[in-house]
Amino acid sequence: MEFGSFCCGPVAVDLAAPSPALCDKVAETLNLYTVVWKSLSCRVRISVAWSDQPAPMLTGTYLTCGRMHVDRVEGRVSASCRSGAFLTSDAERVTWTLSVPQESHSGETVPEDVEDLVGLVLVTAWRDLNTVALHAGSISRNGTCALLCATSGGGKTTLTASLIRRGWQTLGDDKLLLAVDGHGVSRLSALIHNFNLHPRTEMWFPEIGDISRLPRYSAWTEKRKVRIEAIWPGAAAFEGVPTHVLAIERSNAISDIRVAPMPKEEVLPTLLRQTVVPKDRHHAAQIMKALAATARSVRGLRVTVGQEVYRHPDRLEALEEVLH
Amino acid sequence: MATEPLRIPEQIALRADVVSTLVDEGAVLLDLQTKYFYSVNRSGASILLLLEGGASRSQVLDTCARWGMPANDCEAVDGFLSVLASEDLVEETGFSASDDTLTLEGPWASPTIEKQREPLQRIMASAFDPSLPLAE
Repeated sequence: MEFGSFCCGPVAVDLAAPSPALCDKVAETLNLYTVVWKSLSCRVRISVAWSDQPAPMLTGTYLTCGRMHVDRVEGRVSASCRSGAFLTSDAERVTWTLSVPQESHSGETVPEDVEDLVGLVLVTAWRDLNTVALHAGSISRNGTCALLCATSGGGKTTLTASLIRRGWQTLGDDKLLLAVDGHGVSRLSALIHNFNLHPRTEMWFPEIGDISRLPRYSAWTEKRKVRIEAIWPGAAAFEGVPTHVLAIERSNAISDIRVAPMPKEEVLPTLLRQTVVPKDRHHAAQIMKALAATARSVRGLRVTVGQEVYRHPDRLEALEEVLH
Repeated sequence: MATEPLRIPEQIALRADVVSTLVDEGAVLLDLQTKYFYSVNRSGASILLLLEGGASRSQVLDTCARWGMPANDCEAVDGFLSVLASEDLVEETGFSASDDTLTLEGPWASPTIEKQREPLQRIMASAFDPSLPLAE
């Protein structure tokens, strides 16, 4: 039996698996969370086991993902993946069992979609701690802390890396935790201090070297993991109070960067698009309340990034001026 | 959104899987099934609070009148309720939680509701990532 303990933000995860292949696959996802938090707020346990039969896909009454369906009944969470891997929790969501179908065991190959199940354990634990997991980037400097919002592949990381080179810090480019305290103040916390950069961005960041030689972030993307502090020492930040929300999009029609105010009523929808809202009234209300509190206290901006901006990084001044 | 008034059931309440959150300008409604969301002004948000416990059309109109609605604005309130019905955001209910303590913040304005043109993702990439990735 293989064991391991991991710290993923405020959550400690104890892992037990019957083989190195299973342990390594789950550990691969848990090890993404490189930021060490000062204290841990809860502990969960994942036991991995081989199963004889692939599990059927669940209905997805709680959450429907591309590769995973999640149901939730009286506190107990269950999830199934297309590979037949299955996850279930106890009613308190402290003890989890992850079953991987035996036929995928041949050659010790563990299906890739197991990473979705592991991710679900973490998001559930974070949600139980009244935090909201955001798929967003963040930059900060001198009291300014901006959330960078865009779809996957939308340019968050490239913009973040470019601003780091101009003296900004970052909480990360992809995964953040948001919490609202008792006074209604929102606080962002870092989870991962690695970037996921596509090899084509190498031309703008020569200091990284050959990006394609670095490990892949995941099997479904060409992006590579780049450790922030190894390339840009001092750039990693740990927490911040958000002051701005930036909705980023790329454009081939312009060559510079355009910044325009975002109407106040668009800020909350922009934030909503950066998080997963389950089909559960209580959790959806919790998420919306936290994001609404954040939306109240930030300034929204629409940022359009032209194709030449990264060749001429001084053009980022137009954004920096608005952020100060 | 439909402009023709629909038949509104006698007693209505917000559907169980419609979530409402107050914002400075009013409220945001999220339909957890369709993932469409709607922006509602302050008057509309106060009507929604009334509908959370269930109310009849006449209760809604009486309460709005208490909030300062002029008589000629009944049509606007009916229009608002019609949109809620046509968008399937409310359902018929046997309950009515009459609440005389509900107040309207600020002066009365005709209730408005605006549907966002794009819904949130219905199928997520993962438990963490709401968006399916753009083609690389």
